[in-house]
Amino acid sequence: MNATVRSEWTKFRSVRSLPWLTVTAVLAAELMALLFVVSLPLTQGRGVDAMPAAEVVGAALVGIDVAAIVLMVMGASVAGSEYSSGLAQPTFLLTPRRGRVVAAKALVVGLVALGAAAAAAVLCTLTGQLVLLGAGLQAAPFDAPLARLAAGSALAPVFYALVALAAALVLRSTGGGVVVALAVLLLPVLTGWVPGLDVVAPLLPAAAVHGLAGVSVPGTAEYLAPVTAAVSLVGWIMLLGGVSLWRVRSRDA
Amino acid sequence: MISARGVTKRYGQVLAVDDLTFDVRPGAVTGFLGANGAGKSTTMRMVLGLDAPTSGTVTVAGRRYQDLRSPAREVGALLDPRCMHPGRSARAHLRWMADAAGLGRARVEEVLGQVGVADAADRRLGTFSLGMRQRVGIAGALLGDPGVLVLDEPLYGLDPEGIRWVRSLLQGLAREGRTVFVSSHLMNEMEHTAQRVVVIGGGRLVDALDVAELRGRAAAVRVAPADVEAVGVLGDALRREGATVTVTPDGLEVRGVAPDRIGRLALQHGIALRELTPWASGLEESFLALTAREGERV
Repeated sequence: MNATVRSEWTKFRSVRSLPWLTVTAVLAAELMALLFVVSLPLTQGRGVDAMPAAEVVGAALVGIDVAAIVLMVMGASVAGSEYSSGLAQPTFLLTPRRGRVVAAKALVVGLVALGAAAAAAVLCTLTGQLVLLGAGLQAAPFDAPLARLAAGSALAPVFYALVALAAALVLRSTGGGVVVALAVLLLPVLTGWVPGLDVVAPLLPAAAVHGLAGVSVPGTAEYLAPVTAAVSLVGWIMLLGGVSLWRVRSRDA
Repeated sequence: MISARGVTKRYGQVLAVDDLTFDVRPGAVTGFLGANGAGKSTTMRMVLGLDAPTSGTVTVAGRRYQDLRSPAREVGALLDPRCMHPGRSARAHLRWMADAAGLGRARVEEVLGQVGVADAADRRLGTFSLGMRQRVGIAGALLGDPGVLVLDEPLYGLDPEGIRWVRSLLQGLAREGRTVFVSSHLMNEMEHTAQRVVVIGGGRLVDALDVAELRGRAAAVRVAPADVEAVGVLGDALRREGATVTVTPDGLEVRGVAPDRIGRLALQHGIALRELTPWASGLEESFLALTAREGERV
């Protein structure tokens, strides 16, 4: 297993696009954080000085969602590029126990996404605080709700990168992986449009992520308590992992 | 040693490989011959555990490929030289392979030198010619110093110098007692490379034999009696000797009996000869004859 993880890590590092995508994810999050905070007067109709400090930092943390989209592409191409270049063949020749390959890829994608998302969370929080200080206002206190918001927001890119990886393994395509991950990301919007479908809202991964980050309000359709949210997210990861393992193992490479 | 026993692969309605049974022995280069689409690649993929047979079994070194404890140290394979990420350097490509096989980085430098790609090792594979990629692919197959090598069309895309290089490499590996299984759709490519051939057509085994034997079958003798009336007598005499005789406008084409024996037979029967010419048709022709016969049967 060790050898397979090392091999997948060597693969990740030795193709220029993958590390670049990861760096891009962090930079894009930072850029969007800045954009969200600066445009608050337009989007919220009130200036930074008229808002609670925590809300300003919260707006900056929305920048991480952009990182999630870039990291989806990273996660999907870790699997998709192997099928498009034919590299899946030598990979499974060297590691005939294909479950190990799937697990090693998930570990590499998960850890890389976690690193990038954590960096993005730190940068986005700092951006919000610096804008507040720059406007001559008090920085938001770094209390438990803010820490939870930052940590919870950073979980989303990790989850969606893994969704993209699993889908790309099943569909054998980078594009397919990205499309499925985007669809999962947008599921709450879709179910929100259809009357009556909001009953499934708490089951969706978005509800789990929001529940962990503490952004959903108790009493609303998608509200999940943190523990329930964690169980739901783990469940989703196990479901996606299970499906991709089954497909990768059972089909001819 | 590679053993296939009743291996069959069906894709929906298409029977790609049909009840194939053969052995590939160590210490020789075994050519795996067949026209394009005969089922060679599918068979090799089943040998390597990439595709699961619909029925039958294939074992390498006594086990199914999936059950080998450290596959790279037992079996080296080259399936398609295009199966490389164009953005990775040759060195990085071999490094992830070495990592996956649990081999040291030093081994990567050794095989890079062995295949003559050391100078280009840091160039991206996307800039490599097909021949250079074949060399990198062969380096990958040699990484684990395996006792069994499975190579799909390793001569494809190589220049004459490259072909000579692969030939002597494969023969050297066989001399070291390794099992070397090499596919090709060109008989004359294998004529100077392999000692043995496994020939398939339409997914079925046509024949498995030594190249020398195939060459013997290919050898014919053209015999022409001075008198046309003697053709029948000489033909009957040769058939009694066990020869395969074909009557041609000029005389006879004889297989299975050596020229000196034919000369003596003619002398015994008092037949004067106008022509007695040993004539070796190429292996290509006997290979085509083999596969054509298979085609008729199917």
